[in-house]
Amino acid sequence: MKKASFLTFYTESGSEYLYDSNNGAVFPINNLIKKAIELYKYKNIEVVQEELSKEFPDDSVNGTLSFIDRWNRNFNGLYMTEEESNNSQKNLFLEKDIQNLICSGMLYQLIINLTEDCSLRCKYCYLSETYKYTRNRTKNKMSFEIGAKAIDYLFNILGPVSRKIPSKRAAITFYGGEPLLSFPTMKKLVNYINEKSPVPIYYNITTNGLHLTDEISDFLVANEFNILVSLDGDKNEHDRNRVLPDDRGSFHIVYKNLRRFQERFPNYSKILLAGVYDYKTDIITNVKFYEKNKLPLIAVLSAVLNINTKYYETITDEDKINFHRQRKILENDYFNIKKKGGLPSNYLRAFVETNLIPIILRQRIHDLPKAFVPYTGTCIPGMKFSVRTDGTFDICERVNSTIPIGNVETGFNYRAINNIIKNYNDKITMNCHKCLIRKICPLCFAQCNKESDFQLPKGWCTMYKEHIMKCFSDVYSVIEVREDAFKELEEVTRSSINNLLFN
Amino acid sequence: MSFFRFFTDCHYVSGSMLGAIYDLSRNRVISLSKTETNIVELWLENQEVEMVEKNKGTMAKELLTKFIKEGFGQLFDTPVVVEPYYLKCKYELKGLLESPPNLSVAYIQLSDNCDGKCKICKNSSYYYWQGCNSCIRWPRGGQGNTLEGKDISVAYEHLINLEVKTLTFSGGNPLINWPELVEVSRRFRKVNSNLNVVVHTSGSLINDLIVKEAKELGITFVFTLFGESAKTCKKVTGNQTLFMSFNQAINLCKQYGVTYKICLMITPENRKEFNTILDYAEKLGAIHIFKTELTSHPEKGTPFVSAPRGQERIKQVGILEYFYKRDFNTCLNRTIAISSSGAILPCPSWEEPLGNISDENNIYNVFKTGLINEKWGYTKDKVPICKECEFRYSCSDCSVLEWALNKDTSVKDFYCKYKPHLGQWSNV
Repeated sequence: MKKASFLTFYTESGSEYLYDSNNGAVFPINNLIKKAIELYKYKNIEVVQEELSKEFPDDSVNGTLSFIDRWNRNFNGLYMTEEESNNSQKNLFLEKDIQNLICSGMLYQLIINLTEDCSLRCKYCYLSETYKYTRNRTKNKMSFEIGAKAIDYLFNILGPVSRKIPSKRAAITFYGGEPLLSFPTMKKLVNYINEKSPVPIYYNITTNGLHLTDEISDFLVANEFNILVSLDGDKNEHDRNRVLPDDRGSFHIVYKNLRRFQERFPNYSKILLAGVYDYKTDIITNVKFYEKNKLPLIAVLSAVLNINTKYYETITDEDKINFHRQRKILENDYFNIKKKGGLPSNYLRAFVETNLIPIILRQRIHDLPKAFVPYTGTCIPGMKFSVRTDGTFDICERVNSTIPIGNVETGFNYRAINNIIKNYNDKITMNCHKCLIRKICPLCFAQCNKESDFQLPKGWCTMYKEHIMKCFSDVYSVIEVREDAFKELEEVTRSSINNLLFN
Repeated sequence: MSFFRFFTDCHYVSGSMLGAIYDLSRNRVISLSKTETNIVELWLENQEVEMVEKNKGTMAKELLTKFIKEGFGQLFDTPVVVEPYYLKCKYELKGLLESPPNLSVAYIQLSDNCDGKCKICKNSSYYYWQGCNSCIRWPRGGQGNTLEGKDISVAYEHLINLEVKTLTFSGGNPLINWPELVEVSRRFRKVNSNLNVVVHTSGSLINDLIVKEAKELGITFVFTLFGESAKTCKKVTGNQTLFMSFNQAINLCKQYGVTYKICLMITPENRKEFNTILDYAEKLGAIHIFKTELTSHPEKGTPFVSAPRGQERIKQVGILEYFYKRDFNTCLNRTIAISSSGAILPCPSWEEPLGNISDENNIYNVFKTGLINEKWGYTKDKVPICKECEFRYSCSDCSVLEWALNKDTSVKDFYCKYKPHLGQWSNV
């Protein structure tokens, strides 16, 4: 008997659709198709034909069975054999394989943590005492020499790659703490990169926006930086968490600096906003705030990370109820606007569309799973890397400090990378091969990272499956009314991925 | 109340007049009549089948029964959405996550010198059908250029870095530059022992030594045949000896066990003898026979005889081929050509260079700036007239002629009889 390898969902019109987990297809099913798919799991085609013919016209049955049979044969659709469902990830690779892959063109980003110091004391900062296992704020700053060594290491790999892939590009992101507290070092490093890089570089910076002086802004614009400024919403919302060392809010400074930047560079499109929300956020007010104020677009809107933290202990059930009520209202607004062919406003889009992108850009049968880590959305360590102020390499800026992958002196530690991947596969992805949303799941190292180890976030699989099926339902409810409703989102996302506007 | 929808593996493609169903799983292209097209489009515009039947009569009912029976689609109670299935998520990884270009063929013209002095190579007004397979001199005319000097070394380095799979030496007559050809082949082989080397030649100048070395290097020859007799051959080329040297070349290859292919060169002079020439070639034991055909401006409307022009152009495409044709020009994709003047071309028959190995737009930069990718992605969706044709994903390519349609749409008549705006195959 074959096992079903699909999920079904309904749209608002009452139509039923099937998401084929094997090849990423979504198509509608009627009563006949549904019954045929079910029967074909454990009976041969002649028997299914005979049974269905008692209930449906022969022509319909024959045509439908023809589709199911060829879909299964040509696109591996609908079912999973017993053997496939037992065939879990085997971790059959060596350190050398990982090295070959990284050095063959996979490496695309270096994240430089210029300083561990920050001019803010955000209450949800994951690089603070709020989170276990991550480093805390210190006065440590990266020297130019350490930064230059990390850059040299990146370029040593990219040099040969650029000869094989002439259009290869890479991204360098300045991160912190607050990277602009180390502006002189950053400036020297950028000049160094501009002089030495074997490939065109996209520059990114993630900043709290407090130090966007004219001098700094001129430099960032001259070097075509993608500038990501953190702004959580209106004054109340922003100042609730993003506070100065004396506990005063920082909204007035960030807002003033953003306005000044926009006045001076009205056509600069590479300045964008990042926002964070939690259950206490008044998201409806935030939507109105962004609609009223002509601010840069929001590129990233994320919930406060809920792992290894006591942050959420302050959240009450009432907060959650209120948040979900507001969320429902906003989602309705968003989907209604989409159905009418309109363009929802800035915050509304960021709030809803983050959830839709995994559906719009879901993998299909020829989108091969990543080498070594075939399941979940995680990167392969070494595709990008983050360098600490002391020169230690991490997988990215968001994992904690317990799983380093090398340093500026000796480069990547491929044995460590090998162990991290195998550990992740053993602890997190061992059952993913039979998961029905395995081509969509966005889980990554950062969300599973405990002390030197990985642990699946509690309830993740069930929660995400429910969430994604709701998103499917939402998306197809809109598409039924307006088929091209998400074309623009598809284009924007595609462009952001290729230009790595932000990590 | 019910709505008809195609299954996700049956893609409906519309032309300016008619539509076609690409039944991908069963490798079929089903062309629709005007009435059928009209009915299908009404269904896809969310008209209920009952309403369509009411307006279009029994034809709609019969078509629906046929489509359901043959498994093209099904009826639904609501106007559901079916997205034609794509094998890949529709975004390309560019720049940061870009894959190597996977260059398949590099045509190299060591020089445009040729001992043949054929009259067809002097006529620059010809249109070529698949000229890339023949010994014809490129770009048009020939100036006596020779690839030499340090720039070539850089160009070779670029091609080696791009991990080219096949080097095709083409003319003039590359046998004039045989020692250099051998040296270049060895240089590439040092890095890639699996490299294929192909030489396009009339066969003139071939000798035992050349064939022995070709055997040692695993070179494949493509010999151009101008006629089934010395007389026809002379009619085309003006050259008395080419027929004899062609046959000598074939015999030497047979003697030493060297692989060879044949390219029939069809021109206005030997067009009438096409079938005889083909018969002759088929007896010579070649592993493949190409056909190149030339026609000139004054003969507008005189179609190619060797190229499929009628309904045989429409191939029954399978899944991979269909998607490949949607994404790439099947003729240009993963190909580059370097002329003896250093010009970088998307294919040997192409006129407008993308750059030159000696200037800023060298091979590396042609790839870096994406200039070559634009040509590789010159699909039928971008070709005048062809983009209006419902058979555009089941048809073959000859990029030079497709490009020529931008200036003169009547060129299409040379190689294709279909009129998409009329939905008819013409009798011309």
